[in-house]
Amino acid sequence: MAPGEPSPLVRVKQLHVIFGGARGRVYAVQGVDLELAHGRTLAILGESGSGKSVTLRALLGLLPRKQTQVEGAVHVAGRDVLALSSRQLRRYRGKVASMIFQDPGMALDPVYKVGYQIAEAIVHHEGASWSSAHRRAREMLDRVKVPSAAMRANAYPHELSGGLRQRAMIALALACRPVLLLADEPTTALDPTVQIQIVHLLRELQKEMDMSVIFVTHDVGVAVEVADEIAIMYAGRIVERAPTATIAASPAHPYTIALLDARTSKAPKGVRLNAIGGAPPALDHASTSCSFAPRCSRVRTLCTAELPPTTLFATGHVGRCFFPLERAAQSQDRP
Amino acid sequence: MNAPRPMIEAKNLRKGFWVRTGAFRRALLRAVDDVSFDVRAGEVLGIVGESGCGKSTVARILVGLVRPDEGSMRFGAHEIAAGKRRDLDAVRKQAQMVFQDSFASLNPRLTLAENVAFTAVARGQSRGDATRKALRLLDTVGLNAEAERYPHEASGGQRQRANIARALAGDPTVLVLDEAVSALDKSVEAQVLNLLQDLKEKLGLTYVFISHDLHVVRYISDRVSVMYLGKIVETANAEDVMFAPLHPYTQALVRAVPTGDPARRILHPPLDGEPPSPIAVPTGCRFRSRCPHAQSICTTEEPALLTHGSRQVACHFALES
Repeated sequence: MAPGEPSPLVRVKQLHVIFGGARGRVYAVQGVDLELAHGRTLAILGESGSGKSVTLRALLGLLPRKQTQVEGAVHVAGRDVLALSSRQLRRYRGKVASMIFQDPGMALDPVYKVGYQIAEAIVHHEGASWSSAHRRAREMLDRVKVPSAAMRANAYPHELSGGLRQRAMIALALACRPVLLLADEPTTALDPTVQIQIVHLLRELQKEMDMSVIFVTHDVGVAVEVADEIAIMYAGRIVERAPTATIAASPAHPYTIALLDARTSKAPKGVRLNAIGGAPPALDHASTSCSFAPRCSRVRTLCTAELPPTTLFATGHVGRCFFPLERAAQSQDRP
Repeated sequence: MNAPRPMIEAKNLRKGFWVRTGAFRRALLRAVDDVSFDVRAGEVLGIVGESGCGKSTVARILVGLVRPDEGSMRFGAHEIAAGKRRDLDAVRKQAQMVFQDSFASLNPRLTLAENVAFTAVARGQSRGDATRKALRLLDTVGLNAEAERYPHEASGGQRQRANIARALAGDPTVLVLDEAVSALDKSVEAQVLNLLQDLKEKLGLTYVFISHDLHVVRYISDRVSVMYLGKIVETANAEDVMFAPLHPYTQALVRAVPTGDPARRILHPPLDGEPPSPIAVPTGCRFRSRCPHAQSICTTEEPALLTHGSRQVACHFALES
């Protein structure tokens, strides 16, 4: 199945996800293109309902099959994820790609001991003996810096603190050395001093295990901290994507600029914040023009008539906007 | 002393909760342990700290939802901690609270306008007056078009605006905002922060703003108190807390917050581990188990919150760094 040319580890082409239901349809993802090279970290940054988590779930084949329409192509490490059977998906998840969540309760089973759950994954994927699997589970817990790992392996999830549960979930996700880690806001519920520990742990493990990481977050600061590249999602589409330094220094899409401008960290005390007026659009139909146009300060007639295609703003810097900020247009002219 | 008397003076507040630790065992969780602070009329006092530090319990004591076990609190002319029912009622009229969960604090079977009017009716106004007041307040918070919606039909930002209107319907002088913007998206958070500042100016309100987000607290507060395991470890002007913190915990907290600048990534996590359980707090200084500067005196003696110029710090070595 693997193509002959050196292909990126992850390749998503024109992904559309439509949830159906009694209350009408929701166009959650409307044409996402994504590529990620081996060993790189991409942060997907977006607000609630932007489609960032749904995109991530599509990469793990986690979307429900009933009343869900998934179109497009999702390839990870040479596998056509959307075509995998449930049986093939069970081998794919954990071995090729793994996911960690904001709430470790999503990944850890409350009625089994933490060490057993990790060992079970190793036995399932690698056919190891239970005794060696248990040993590796303890090593893994030790590696993610769970103090007194051998003892903690015998604990149930509820006996661990929030930070330790998060580490146990990471140990479980990485026990079989997947090539791709999908992280869905894994630090959002944590206190700041613990959040930065987990961010650092993930950075270390990524280098050590030579993984690719897709890290979904709504926090610009965390995205900058973890990622080589940042993709910004709005209303089901990636509206801008560039290396982290470019997004931080010269964002070109009006939404990205507005999002960075609304940060309290950059505002002097008492000065009004540059809030983005209005709210994101309802996703009850696939939009045929720029979704951000109703809130955009630089909107022109074209924006409400046509959907801006993904265009090259500068080398390695793409986005969906007819009138990106000048700075980016200038840097495009540079050799 | 020419300084005007603070609006709220809390002295040596303590509040503990009995929690189950096993089938037949209970332990005392000291959520707030000897906390003193002032709130000045017209200021924004920020309170920051990580989960379990007692900041929400302080908020609940302030609005009279929780009675402290020990200590005293004067609110305007009313003494409330040990006080009578009448004094407690008086405080409840003056202080209102906005919670993090915008959905849980609205009645799902009432429209936003009815939710806001409910507070005014509870305060003894006629239905007609209460409805007119609710519509006026919803207009003030920018929800005139959404007044007839039910909570589930409104977005998170709209619900939180309605909660602010609901709090204002009691004509309070103090708003206690407990993680009021924490659940909102950043672009909506900015809208609500702007609204809060407009209201403060227009209505002459005083805010106690509680959050775990240092950036937001620095931006909106005049003074900030930092809490750790039930105690205030530092109080100072907002800028000083963020840019020149004195307590080692405050320093670590500030250094743990991502800068948003790829050239200034955090190279080492400033602290290891997590805060100890408030059921078993360390002896001496509570922060010593994680403090990089801890000495033997920190194990034996609990540092008092001492005043240094315009700020207060509880650390044996605060002025040495």
